[in-house]
Amino acid sequence: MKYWGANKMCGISAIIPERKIEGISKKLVDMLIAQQIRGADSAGFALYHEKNDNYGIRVGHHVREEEKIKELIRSLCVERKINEIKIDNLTTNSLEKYITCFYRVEPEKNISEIINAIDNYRGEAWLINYGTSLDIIKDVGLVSDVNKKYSIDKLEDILFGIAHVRTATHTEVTSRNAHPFSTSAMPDIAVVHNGEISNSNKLKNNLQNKGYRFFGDTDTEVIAVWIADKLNSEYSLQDACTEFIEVADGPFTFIVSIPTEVAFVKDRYATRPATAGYCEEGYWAIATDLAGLEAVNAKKNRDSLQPGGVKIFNLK
Amino acid sequence: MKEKITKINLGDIFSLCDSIDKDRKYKDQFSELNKKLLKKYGFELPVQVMKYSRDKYHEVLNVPHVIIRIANILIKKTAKESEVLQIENPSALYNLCAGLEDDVAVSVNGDVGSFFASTVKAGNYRIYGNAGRSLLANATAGRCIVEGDADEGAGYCNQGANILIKGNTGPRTGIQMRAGSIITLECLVFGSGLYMAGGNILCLGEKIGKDLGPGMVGGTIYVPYIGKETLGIGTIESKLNSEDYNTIENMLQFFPTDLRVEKISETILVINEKEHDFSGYRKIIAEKD
Repeated sequence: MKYWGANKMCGISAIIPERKIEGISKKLVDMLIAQQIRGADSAGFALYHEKNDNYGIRVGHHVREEEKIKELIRSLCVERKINEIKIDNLTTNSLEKYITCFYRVEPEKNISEIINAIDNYRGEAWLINYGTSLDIIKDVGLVSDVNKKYSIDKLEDILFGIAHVRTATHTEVTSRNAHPFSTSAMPDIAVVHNGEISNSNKLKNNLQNKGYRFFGDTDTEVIAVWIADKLNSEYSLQDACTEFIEVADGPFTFIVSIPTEVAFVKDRYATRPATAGYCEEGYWAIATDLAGLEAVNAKKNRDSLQPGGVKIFNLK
Repeated sequence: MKEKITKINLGDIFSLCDSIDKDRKYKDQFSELNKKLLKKYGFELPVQVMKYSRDKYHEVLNVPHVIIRIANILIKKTAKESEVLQIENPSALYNLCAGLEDDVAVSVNGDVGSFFASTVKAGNYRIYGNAGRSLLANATAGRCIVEGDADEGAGYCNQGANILIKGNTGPRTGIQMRAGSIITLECLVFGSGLYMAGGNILCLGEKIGKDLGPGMVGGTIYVPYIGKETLGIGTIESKLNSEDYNTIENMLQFFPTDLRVEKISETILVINEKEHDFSGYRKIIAEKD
């Protein structure tokens, strides 16, 4: 049975289990397929797994820069005495000629050197995410295409995840602009977002003045960096999200995740839909369309959040 | 002669699409789909549907526009031949029952997606589940009962339909409403009655959100109490008068099987065995009124 929802804006999804359960990535794929009608431009997943001892970095870059980037990271690894554990080309998108690579490096203290180096390739290379327990996989195309390419539904040992289907509004359709977004401001943070942040440029300028880097032009990245900035300043996720609602203009609903918590956030007027629901199998699901919740049988305790609402889910 | 009850299982449409071999050309897939539709239901899809689906989704089967199109053509066709329609496996499809013009009783077992029964001109709808956004949007007549929750904008631009929501409602219920009525049993939250120009909204629950009726130019919102931030911009509150009590009573009578009303006095009604004293209620109306 397939579920289809109509042709409006983006769709967001999340699966947050109360205890460890199997098949989370499959559930996320099913939820996105159910909400495909909300966005056919790109699809993306932020999947959290058990904490790894080493840092992983996922980098996107133009295919012509592949060797340079690899060499750069390799050289940094050698120079800084970081053991490069794995270099794995996951995909080549022949249309865009962009490539995403996943690197594992250690130790943590030199990660900033690598991020600096990637930042120097602005326009040609960008950071997708880094951290010890997060992996972001995103690409252009329908959910079924992205799933086929990366075999997402077969990924195992996923603790929880968030996902997104995109209808592009402000920026071009590329894997770089696909959601979820993370940031170099802190590891293991991911954001999926439906809506617009009207004053994102102002917020972005403030953050840039503070020294934060941006690897894209979307307003979603602003959310990720803004929240990361607050979390770095000892805010709780709840407080950071509540303050964001106060400073941000425009219609938005987003989900932000860190390894210990997931926040489901709506703007002051609740202008973008999304509902959380609970499944008796022992997990919470969040979806823009009810079709998404139907797809994973999350029928209990539905909560669409009040305007300006923040719902926090704690990961045990 | 109309048949009494007709069941439509929307799961059959998904199965029918799944049964077609997808390794062939789009054109061949689509013509086989049409053959099967003709054999099973007696209608075909126009070729534009294939072109649109092919260009947008690179697939002509199991894509939203095709499934919704088949479902709605089937529902419209069946509605002309039946008195009661029972829809199974609605799968939270968008736009289900949109544009129905026949006076038919439709019961849906499950959740419906956004824009359910939008622009309908007649019919009695009952949803045994939840509804997505903009339930009965732009409906000019008809009656709808939602057993579960209704998401944002239920009764959007309602032009004469009567809606009863038994569960929770989302923000902006009855936005830009022109006529008709909306009754909610649990709550009436943020922005409900936004830009309202006519009709009535009644909340029998205790949960009242803020900013009700901002920018309204007509119509009335009846609420059990007025909180600090209840009134939206451009609205005033006042006590109910005899005319209002009559209006409320008339609104309740649209749903005789769901709202059993017993009149104790002009202001006190027992609704489903629960006493409601409407003398304490307040109405929200446009400021210039």
